[in-house]
Amino acid sequence: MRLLVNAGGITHTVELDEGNGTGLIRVKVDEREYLIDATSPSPGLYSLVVHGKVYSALVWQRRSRREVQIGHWSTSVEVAPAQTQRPSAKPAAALGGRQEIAAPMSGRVIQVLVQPGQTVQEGESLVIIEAMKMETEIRAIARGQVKDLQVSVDTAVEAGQLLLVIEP
Amino acid sequence: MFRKVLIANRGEIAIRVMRGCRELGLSPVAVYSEADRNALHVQMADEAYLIGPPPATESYLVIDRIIEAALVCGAEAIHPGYGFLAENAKFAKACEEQGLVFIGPPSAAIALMGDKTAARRAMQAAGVPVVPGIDHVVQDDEEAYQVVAGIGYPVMIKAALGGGGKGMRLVHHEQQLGDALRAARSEARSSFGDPAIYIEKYVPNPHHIEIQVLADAYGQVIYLGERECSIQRRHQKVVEESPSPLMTEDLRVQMGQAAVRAAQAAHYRNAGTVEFLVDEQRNFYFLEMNTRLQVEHPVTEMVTGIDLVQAQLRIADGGPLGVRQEDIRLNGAAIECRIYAEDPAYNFRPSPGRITVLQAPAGPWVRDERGVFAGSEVSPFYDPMISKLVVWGATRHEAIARMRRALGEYVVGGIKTTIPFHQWLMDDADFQAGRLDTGFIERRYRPQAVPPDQLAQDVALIAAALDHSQSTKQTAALPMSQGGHDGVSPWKLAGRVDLIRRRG
Repeated sequence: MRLLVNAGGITHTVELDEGNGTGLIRVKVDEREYLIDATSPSPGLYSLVVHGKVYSALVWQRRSRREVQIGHWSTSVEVAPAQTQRPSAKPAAALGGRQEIAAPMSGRVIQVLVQPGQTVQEGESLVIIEAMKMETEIRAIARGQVKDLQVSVDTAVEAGQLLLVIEP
Repeated sequence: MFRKVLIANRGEIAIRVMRGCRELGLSPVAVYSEADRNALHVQMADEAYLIGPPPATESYLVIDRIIEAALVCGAEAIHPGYGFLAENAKFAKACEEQGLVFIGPPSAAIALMGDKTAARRAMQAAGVPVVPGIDHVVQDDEEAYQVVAGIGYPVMIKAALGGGGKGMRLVHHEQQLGDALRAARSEARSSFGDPAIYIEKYVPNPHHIEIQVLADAYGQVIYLGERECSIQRRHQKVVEESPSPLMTEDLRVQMGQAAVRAAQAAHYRNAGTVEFLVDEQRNFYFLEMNTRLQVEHPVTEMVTGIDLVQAQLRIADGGPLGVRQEDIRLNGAAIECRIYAEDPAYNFRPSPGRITVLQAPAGPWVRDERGVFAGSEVSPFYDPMISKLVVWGATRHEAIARMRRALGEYVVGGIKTTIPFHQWLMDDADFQAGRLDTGFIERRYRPQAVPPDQLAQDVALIAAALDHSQSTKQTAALPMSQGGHDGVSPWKLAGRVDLIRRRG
């Protein structure tokens, strides 16, 4: 399987040759080849032995992105099959200034500070979400007009759920 | 002694209290909300009673339901844990009135210390130094502006019925004051049911050091050394240790005696904690008294050898302290790391969800008190702390090395936790040197941006690719082993082994 993995704006090719399922797999990352003993003791946990060195990698999936944590270092990547376009790891700015504001965590909306059609400035508070007894202010990344407001006070939201859209 | 104790709490602290009960031969009773039927504290109790829907205001905070559960099951005493009703004088009073032993101080002591401005006045009268500020609730914004003009910026706005960092706002400039007052009042109302606030001078970058006290019903009050709690985010403790790197033998005696005076002034009984701010010149100021067991009580237990939960139970039962001040010796060093369901890489934002992987640390002098297991749902309804990891070492240096080792063993997947932050902290030169204050995290912490070694970057790419490949395939013929049995069910495996044996 040939995959494109974008990390920090750079796209790498990762070729997995999972062979006959013995746990030993041949991997090529760009031009670097590895023979890896890989196992997944639990969902989202990968134990990889590379050149005799043991790595534990935790993987979280959030929408199209994956976050990988090794020790206390973590990195956010986007994976796509090689036959499709390059992964669109583009921040909101790349959508022509259109900001899709999503809930950073699951919780409950306790305040909506804007109305559809309203113009907001960069850094202006839009929505306040309460989770685990803590209030989090969701702010505009750039100036724009509020469109498609999808939540109101007391809406229960999931992590990644679209709250509203801001158009330039 | 009483035989049955109802624990009016959930999560790790409910379990901690149950352990104390069991070691004294007492039967622990749990209460739970509809969100907590599967929770570990319910599984570990002898009896359990449903007390309402998931929101705490409809379950763990409903005094009548908890009292009723205690009366129904025939419990003689109630342990409130920390948080929820632990510092609610009405609850303590309701227990007293129903003939139930409240395992904590008398309701009057809770009421005094819960009213932060009344406590400030009482402490001043008892000769305990307090932070400069006002000794009454601020009526309106106009008064707030006047008060601040009097004491000067920066100031700290605090909830009058506050605690635990909720309803607190630091204000550096006049332009921030209006917003900060509004935010503090709003948080005070939602957390404590009362928007009343007061204002103190902000002591910049202080040490937050607290003294554990124990008081029995016969007027005996002792202090059990200090806990250094300066490593905080959002004014809430994240790491605690005993002894404090700042402490001297002389200062410990001074602060300990002040803490004893504070407890005596409040006619205190049972375990309590007197919190102080300490500046670089080792001046100390009374901050507040927590009239309950603290999250961080284990570090005191580790260096004193005294089980504070058992001490609470004995004192509540009318027993004497059984230990004198001169018997208290601090041995070695202990550190606690609070493992929160929060993502330290994103300013410690909450990360509720299902725990898919949990490998807990163990080994010499490691104590991990969890309220969760693999498969647990960390609910957005409650406090984000899932575990407290505590280690002991002969020296602080040894304790840090041990904590680093234990954190390296700790694997939690599915949700984000503060483990990576703690790993960073244990490696930090200033922390190792004991140079810490309450501004430490804000000033120094930056999530690790560089891979730990040359291969790690590629390993991360490979792990992500494998995870993608796993989730897209979803077939039975997984090339990767699952659960250590090459994707084969343990029943099938057992069958095969059996077949081989018979053939043999």
